Amino acid sequence: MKDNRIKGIIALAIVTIISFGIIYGTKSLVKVDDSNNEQGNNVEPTEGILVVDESYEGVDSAWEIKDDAGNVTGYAVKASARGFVGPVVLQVDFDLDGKTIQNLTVVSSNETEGYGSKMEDEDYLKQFPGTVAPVHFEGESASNTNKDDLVIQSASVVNTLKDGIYIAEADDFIGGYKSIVTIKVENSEITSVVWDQMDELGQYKSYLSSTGKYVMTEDGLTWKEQADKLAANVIENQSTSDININDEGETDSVTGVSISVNEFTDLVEKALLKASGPTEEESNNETSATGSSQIDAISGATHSSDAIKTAINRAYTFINDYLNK
Amino acid sequence: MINNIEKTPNISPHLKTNKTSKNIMVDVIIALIPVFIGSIYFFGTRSILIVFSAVFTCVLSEYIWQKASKKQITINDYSAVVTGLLIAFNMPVQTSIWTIVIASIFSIIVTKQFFGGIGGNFANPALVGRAIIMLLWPAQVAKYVTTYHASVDAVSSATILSLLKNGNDFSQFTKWDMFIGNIPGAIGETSVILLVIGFLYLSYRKIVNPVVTGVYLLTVVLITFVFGPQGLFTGDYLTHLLSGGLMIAACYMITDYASFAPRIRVTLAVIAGILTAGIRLWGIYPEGACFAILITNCLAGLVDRIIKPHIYGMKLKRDKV
Repeated sequence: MKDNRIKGIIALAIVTIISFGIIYGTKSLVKVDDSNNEQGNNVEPTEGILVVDESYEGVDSAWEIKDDAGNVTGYAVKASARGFVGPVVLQVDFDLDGKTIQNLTVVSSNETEGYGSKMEDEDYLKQFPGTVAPVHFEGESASNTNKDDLVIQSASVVNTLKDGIYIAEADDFIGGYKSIVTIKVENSEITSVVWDQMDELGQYKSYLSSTGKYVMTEDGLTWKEQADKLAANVIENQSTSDININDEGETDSVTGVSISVNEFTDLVEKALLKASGPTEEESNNETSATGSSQIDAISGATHSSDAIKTAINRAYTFINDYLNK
Repeated sequence: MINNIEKTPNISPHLKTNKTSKNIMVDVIIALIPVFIGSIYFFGTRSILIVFSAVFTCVLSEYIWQKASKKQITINDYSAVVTGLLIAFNMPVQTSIWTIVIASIFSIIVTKQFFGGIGGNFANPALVGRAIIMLLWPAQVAKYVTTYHASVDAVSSATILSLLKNGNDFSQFTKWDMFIGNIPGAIGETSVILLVIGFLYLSYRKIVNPVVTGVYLLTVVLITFVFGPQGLFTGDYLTHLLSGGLMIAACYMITDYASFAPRIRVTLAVIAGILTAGIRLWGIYPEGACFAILITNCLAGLVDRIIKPHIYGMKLKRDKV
């Protein structure tokens, strides 16, 4: 038995050494570009480093981007902001004007898979090259990128919807949950509505509901199924007009829905107002909006989207101040 | 004629084997050494901390429980060490240590000791530990990073199965990358070649039944090939075979039914394969091996009652209609 084991161990060791030889050999044979990776130059150089003052919150480092001849072709700023799970660190490559974004690279993030992690998708990142900082989401005034300051208007002044993804979030937790509504507009029509609620631990009710962790009644539709029905109603009617709400905040307009819906309809209308664009008054006040770009948020990932916007704007603030010194 | 030799009957067992629990566990540990070295190579020295945390916590938990309940101390059978290794190898390198500690404690005490210790556990302890963390702190086991990172700032990356599930491009990872382990994932699950080497060692030592593993893998490959995203027989079965936790599950976890007859083990392997492929293709999780094997663990008793094992020395008699 022991001879058998010793023979086995020797064979295992030999094969393991050969395997590591193959693994290491593969790595050595693959041509590695030390100066650039696929998504851009996120390797910090040792020259051309810009001094980052501690007063610039969230800005980790910055340096000059140079070509092979040593000429400065732009500036790279590594900035971070708090996302949903943890810090989101971005490298923003600016043109020489310090405003136009050449490239955006996600250096690190641990956002939730399927939600905030979509920030690393090529489809999402390709919107950034060519955009001008600072950035804001569709519906936010460029001079005020804080979504909490949005002016809420009545649904009667909703204009033609602009294509994009719009997110509306409740201000407070109610019953331990905060509602978030995301709508998607394509060709001026609402094509997707998602209503979810998040608890203080960051768990989404749609997930808890579909996995049986959030149960309202033994029979009857789950919370997620009811939310989906309400969303389908809005898409079908292209508004919340079909959802009649009684004094208890419930509706009998949508079969099978017994949950309170007034928070849902409020947030849908808020999102639709964003989609309809700024009012004439807001447009007249946007004197500082020149050169600012709108970017798409990540559907269903408000905090992750805000982190991206904040990190980019922090990077812009630093490089703008640096160039204007 | 009376024989002068005093004859006394021997007591059973009359047939003995050198295969003790301890010997088996030692062989499994030896088989996992290449995987451990690979985890350090691909994900850095933090893998050592993760493995040490898991193993230490598992052994300590088992010792404290057995001491407190005045049972025989069995930590020297190394089963807790194996559990710790498997827990560690199922975790991403950026997983917090406290998460690993909780998973280890839960797997040893709840899954194993509550049910009488080794052999009495109703499910694979390591997988139960991982499942608990996935359910309670999902973000902790979602911190996948790319390999070969030399600095502290690892680059986060979705796993291949996650990219596949969401329809995203993962062409930056070749099949060869998946085979050698140069892909994001848990520290012990990425390198197919190293896992297979260890499995071959266990097969040579007759610790595992390669037929069971083969049936499990074949089932997953068939289903993922047949039910492809572009229609029947268009599935990317190679990606499914070479990525995720399939190989570590096939080599070191699906083989965990030593007490069952071979035909039952093969049946369970088929069930686990169907569930693994089903969760991967139609479930909400990109990876299905963990929950598939746990579900199969729960079904093992039922399957055992339904399928009668073959009695050695007896031919099967078919009833005449």
